Amino acid sequence: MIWLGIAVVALMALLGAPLFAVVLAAAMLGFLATGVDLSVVAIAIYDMTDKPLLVALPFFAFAGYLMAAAKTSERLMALTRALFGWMPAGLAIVGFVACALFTALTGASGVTIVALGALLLPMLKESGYSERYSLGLVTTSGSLGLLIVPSVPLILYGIIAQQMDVGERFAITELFIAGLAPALLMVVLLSMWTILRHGHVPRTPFDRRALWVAVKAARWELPLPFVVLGGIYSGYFAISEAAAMTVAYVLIAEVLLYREIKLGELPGVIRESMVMVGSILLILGVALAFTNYLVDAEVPQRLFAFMQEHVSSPLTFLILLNILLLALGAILDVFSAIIIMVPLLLPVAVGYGIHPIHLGIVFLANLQVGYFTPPIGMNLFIASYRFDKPVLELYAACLPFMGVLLLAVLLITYIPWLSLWFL
Amino acid sequence: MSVFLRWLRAFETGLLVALLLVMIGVAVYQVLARNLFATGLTWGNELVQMAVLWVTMVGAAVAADHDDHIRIDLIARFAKPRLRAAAARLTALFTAVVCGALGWYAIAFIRWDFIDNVPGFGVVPAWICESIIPLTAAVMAARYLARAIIPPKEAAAP
Repeated sequence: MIWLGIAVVALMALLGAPLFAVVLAAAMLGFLATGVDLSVVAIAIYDMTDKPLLVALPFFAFAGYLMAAAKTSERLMALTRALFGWMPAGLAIVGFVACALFTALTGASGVTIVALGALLLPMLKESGYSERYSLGLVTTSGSLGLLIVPSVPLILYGIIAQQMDVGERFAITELFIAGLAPALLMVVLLSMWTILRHGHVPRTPFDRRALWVAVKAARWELPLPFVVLGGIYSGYFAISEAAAMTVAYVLIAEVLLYREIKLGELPGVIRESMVMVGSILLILGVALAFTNYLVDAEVPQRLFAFMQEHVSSPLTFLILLNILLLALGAILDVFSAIIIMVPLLLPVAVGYGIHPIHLGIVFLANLQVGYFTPPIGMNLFIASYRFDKPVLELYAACLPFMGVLLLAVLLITYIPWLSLWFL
Repeated sequence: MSVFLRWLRAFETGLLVALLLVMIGVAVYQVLARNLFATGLTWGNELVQMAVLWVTMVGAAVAADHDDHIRIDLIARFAKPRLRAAAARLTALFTAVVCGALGWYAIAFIRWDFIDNVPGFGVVPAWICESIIPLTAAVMAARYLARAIIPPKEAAAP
């Protein structure tokens, strides 16, 4: 009977049932099999109110949607162009940096491809980059920046890892620092490769006036990183409070100072962003229930015991992990992949002596590449839709970028120091 | 019916706007009050955390309206239209049943908190805070059931 239930749930997942329903059904089945009253599922969802860190998610998500609705992308482009445009392969580097920052702010939801990619693509082609390279850049850079504060997936990993309470304890602020060097490594590797391949593209001289104009245009948004990071690292506010200050600041900047979002448009932006928050956090809520069941049934321990029998070295485990995560990143979106897989994999990884912070960075770095892994990485379809190109053409355009980023992922995986140097 | 649906959508949007703005207002007040005057509302943080649950559930109900929930869309990408339509109806029915079950068991849990008069935050009893779970579960169940019975036309292409 239970096996029939499991088969039905698995079939529904494959047929495209909403993931929250799949996880919810799996949790209910599990509790049903062990004779626990099913009300525990609702109680687990209600337990969300017991996690102060979760508050940060709706706030950062709304702030990101506000910036996506305003002309932040244009200002960011102008500013990074004035700063880095003079370098060899400058415009490509501008693209990497701008995409990474924009994704960190808006939460890696394809907004980067839609907002920034549309600005970048014609610029790149005009300045002499091949069509194929330009398409590859805007498609793959849509998820660059997953590792940079205050990216929502990074916060989500921190929340889940902390509430599991296995392995070494860590502060979310440490996770934020950990992401910086790996993110920088990705941008540097991509830039170096581009300079090698596209170094012949004509360069534009550094223009102090253009920089001044760009800085002046971005004057209300430039203080933002200091609001977020300054507040957190000076100890004036916790992450959730920094999120509240960020959203209040962005609201004032975009609605009152820039006046790019009219008051009448706010309900629409709120609704859209909260639909995203609702669909992520509902999965989180039901996954809490499912995790409770897994822990009751000692699944992580059994998984670890099984792994220990077959995989002895942490290195082999990490290789397997890379493969698993790449595949997962291609079929699941980053939020559900984190919510569903971290509770299972973290105890196993800790068993192999992997630091929870390192695991988080490896996790996100892999999922980032998964975003544009053929055949169904999400970025590929967003870009195909946005730029009106066949998906097959995008597969080809993304492959070299994928190679460079996979090299970065391997370095990040096997050199824990990159993520843990400050500990 | 369509008047009721319009009204429901407007109410949901209004509720999301009100919840989020209250959350932002209270959270910012808490930060300023603590750092500037070393005070704050005793129930402020609890209110904000409760609002996260409400925003989640109402947001999820709105997502159900347009079937915007996160899924593995292997079939949607590669299957032929007829198979895709059949899969959409089947999974919608499955989702409706699961949401219905969630609502049912949530009511059982809330009943006990109601009888025992468990406190929520401030003066608000827990059962009022919790009631959003079965309410939105019912809305989601109804929306997915409607999708299973009369599939909307837009469902075809992602």
